[in-house]
Amino acid sequence: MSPSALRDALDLTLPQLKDRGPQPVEVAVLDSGVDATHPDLQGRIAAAFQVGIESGKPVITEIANNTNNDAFGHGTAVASIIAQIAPNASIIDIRVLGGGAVGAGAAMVLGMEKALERKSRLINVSLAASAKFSQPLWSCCEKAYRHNQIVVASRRNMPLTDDGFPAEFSNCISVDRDDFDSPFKIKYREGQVIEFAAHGDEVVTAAPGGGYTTQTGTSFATPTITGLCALLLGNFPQLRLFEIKSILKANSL
Amino acid sequence: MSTTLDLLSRHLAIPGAGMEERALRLILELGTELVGAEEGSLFVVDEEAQELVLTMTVGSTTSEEALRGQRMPLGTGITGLAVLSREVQMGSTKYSDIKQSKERDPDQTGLDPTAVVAAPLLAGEKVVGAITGVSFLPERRFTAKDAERYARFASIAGVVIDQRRRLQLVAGNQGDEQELVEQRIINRLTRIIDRNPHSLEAIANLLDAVDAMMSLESVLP
Repeated sequence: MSPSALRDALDLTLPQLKDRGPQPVEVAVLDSGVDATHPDLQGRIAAAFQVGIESGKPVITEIANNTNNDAFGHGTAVASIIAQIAPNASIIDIRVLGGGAVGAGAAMVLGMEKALERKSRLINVSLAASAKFSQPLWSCCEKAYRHNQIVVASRRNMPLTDDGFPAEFSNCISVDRDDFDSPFKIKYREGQVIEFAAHGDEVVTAAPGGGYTTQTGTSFATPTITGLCALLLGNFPQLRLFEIKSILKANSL
Repeated sequence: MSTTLDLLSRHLAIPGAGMEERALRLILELGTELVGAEEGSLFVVDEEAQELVLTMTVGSTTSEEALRGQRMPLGTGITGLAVLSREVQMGSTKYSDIKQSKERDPDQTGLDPTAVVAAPLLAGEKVVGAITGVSFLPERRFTAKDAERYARFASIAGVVIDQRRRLQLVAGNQGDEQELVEQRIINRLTRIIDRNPHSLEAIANLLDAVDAMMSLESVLP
């Protein structure tokens, strides 16, 4: 437990965290890959992995961490939001989308296992798996919680009967989007399955190939919270998931 | 060149000239109109080939004739991302840089869309395809509200497809009560939209209200 860290963190505003020289924090980004050649991300990708098929089975392999590993732009956008908010974030690119015939749910489980194995302190999941994968994803999130690793996950944008997994689990931080004009504005939604909302409309992000674009959706609100968590952990490494949630709640609009 | 009905029949098990095909086209038309897109397309997933097949296009008969049956690898573009992520996605194929504009991009041919919104068609656990709306207007971007509404329409289209599959599964057996109720809802929805395309806004509001009511129920003790 870290009662003094919690008290100290509560005495600061979120923007102040950036100016205190936060320590490096490893952040795994499970997504469509990252363009590590983008000027905003050069030198920020500590390692890169991708899920693919070998002998008919899904496997995860390490790849070069200085190339464009993103066919869609989604992961590059997500990573750039984290990199911009948290200069101390050391990003691990884990590509779980686009690996041939591997389903997104199965790939997400493999990616989570890699992040757990690496002991990445934060795991950003701007994706939502179907209920079919809820059990293995819950096990991963529970393991993360016990090992003091924090999963930050997006609410599903598609209107289905659930909000998506792992976002529905209480052992991770779940995020919805809102039209706030700053990444430091967040909202706690009391009594909701999806607890937090953050800046997720028209977010300016890096685009593969060196340019910039704007993105909208829960996928881009989630890395905003992940970036804030990286700043908190960079300043107060002892903080646990429930303490981070308390601090985010205390900073809610 | 395959016809739309061939493609629907082969990949979605929707027989030609059926009500479901008409309903899908109507949903595509209304979804396209609702988000202010100039063209809309329906893609289906060919699981064996791991490809997306363009099956139907609205907004331009030229495009439909030219593009129908065209295939692309599953992991391609914004539509591919919508299928892989099972999420509605927005973006631009033309502008990777927001600082770009038509004036700064003299090579713009007018053939590439400036803005794209794509939503997956989910039939239960399966992703069977996607609908995509495109705009060619300079510097056009779809909004979060556009994406939400487009996703709702994709959900309806997914139900239409899923319903057809379920009915085929129970064909020959005694009718399942739930399937029959679902079929009644779809038939009614199709008739309302067919008779009055302007009911679109009202249906969208109704879906919002149902969604809000269900959210409320989920938090009540």
